[in-house]
Amino acid sequence: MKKYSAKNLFIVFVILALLSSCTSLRAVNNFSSVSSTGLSKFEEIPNSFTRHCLERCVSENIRKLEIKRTADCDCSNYQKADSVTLLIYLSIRGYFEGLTDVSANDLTHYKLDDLSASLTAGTFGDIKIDQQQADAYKMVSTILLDAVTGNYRKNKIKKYVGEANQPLQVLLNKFQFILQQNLEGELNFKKEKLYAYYRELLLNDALNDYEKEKAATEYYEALSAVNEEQHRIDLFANSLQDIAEGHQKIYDNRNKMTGKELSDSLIVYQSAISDAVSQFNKLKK
Amino acid sequence: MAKLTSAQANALANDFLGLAQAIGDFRYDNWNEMSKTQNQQLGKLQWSILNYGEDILALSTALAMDDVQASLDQINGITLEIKATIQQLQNVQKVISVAASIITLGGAIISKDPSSIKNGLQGVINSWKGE
Repeated sequence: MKKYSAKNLFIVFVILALLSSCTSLRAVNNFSSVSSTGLSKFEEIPNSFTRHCLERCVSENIRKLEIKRTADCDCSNYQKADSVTLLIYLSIRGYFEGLTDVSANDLTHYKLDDLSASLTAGTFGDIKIDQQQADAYKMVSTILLDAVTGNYRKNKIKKYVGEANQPLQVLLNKFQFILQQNLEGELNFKKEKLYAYYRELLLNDALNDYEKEKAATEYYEALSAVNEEQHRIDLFANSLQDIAEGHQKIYDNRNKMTGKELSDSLIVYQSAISDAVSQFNKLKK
Repeated sequence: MAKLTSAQANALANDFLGLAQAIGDFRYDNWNEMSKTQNQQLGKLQWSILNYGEDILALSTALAMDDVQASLDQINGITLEIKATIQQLQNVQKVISVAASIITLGGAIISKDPSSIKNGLQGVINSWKGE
């Protein structure tokens, strides 16, 4: 009786260890996977510093009633701005993709079928292993392997999250700043230029009332298009805040939280990121 | 002299926008009072200030590199470590497959059957290559 109890206790212990490592890994996996998807939306934002420069160059020529064989625009500083933004984006995305992969349970679901088949393939000297025994060894080995690798990955993730949090917060913060203050800022200038251009048109005595009305309609359409572009950038940039807060949560609780608690606390951020992705997709349509 | 920071450049660009708006409002409010030349000169100034403001925003973004270089290096280093861990964990499956093929080879050697030994050896080679 005692023997069975000890055996049962061991199995319960192994299964609990396995479940505990799996659930907290799953919470990290879900959050980092949703964050990766959210981050990837950056590639669907059509605005960039270079595009802004090229559009400015063309509209400048139109305003001056000039046509040129080549647009002849010096956008090198704007290209540099895009390179910096892209570098920050790729680094953040690379980290979250790595975190998603290393926390995925599939990574260490090793197939032991070959090993089990080899063991039952024949007689090894005096030892003969039957199918039932081989299957039992396989089952126990799978549980132990999952528990060991699950905890190994959990410890590794603790280490990575611990080291990555501070630089990640800096990068996410700067990424948000670039998008909301600088890229959206460029669009504020675009709006002011539209206002100046159409205001001058309306003050022009050479235009009749019908032409002025048409110009005013054009202005409001152009303004609305720029506002929509800003809204799209804003949606994406705000989701960076949720990613930063979610990662901070994992960092703060990396040493004490159980899988369930971590999962519950991350769900708020996951929902916010998913919601932003959904709104972003709606705007595209 | 201290270097201009990304945030300072952004604030400067916003000042330029405000200035251009003020010049613009002055022009529109005094449109009929100003001579054509005065109006054109002020218009050019307004437009140049707007262009400079846009250029400063691009500069602000480029300057952000100074603030994030160390963080970029750290994150990229950690990402490389994560990839190495993933590679290591993926190799475990390969080790299991190789071990299985070695056990099969062992059985073949004990059976002293040349054909099974040959197949067993091929199995070890294949699992090592990941086939």
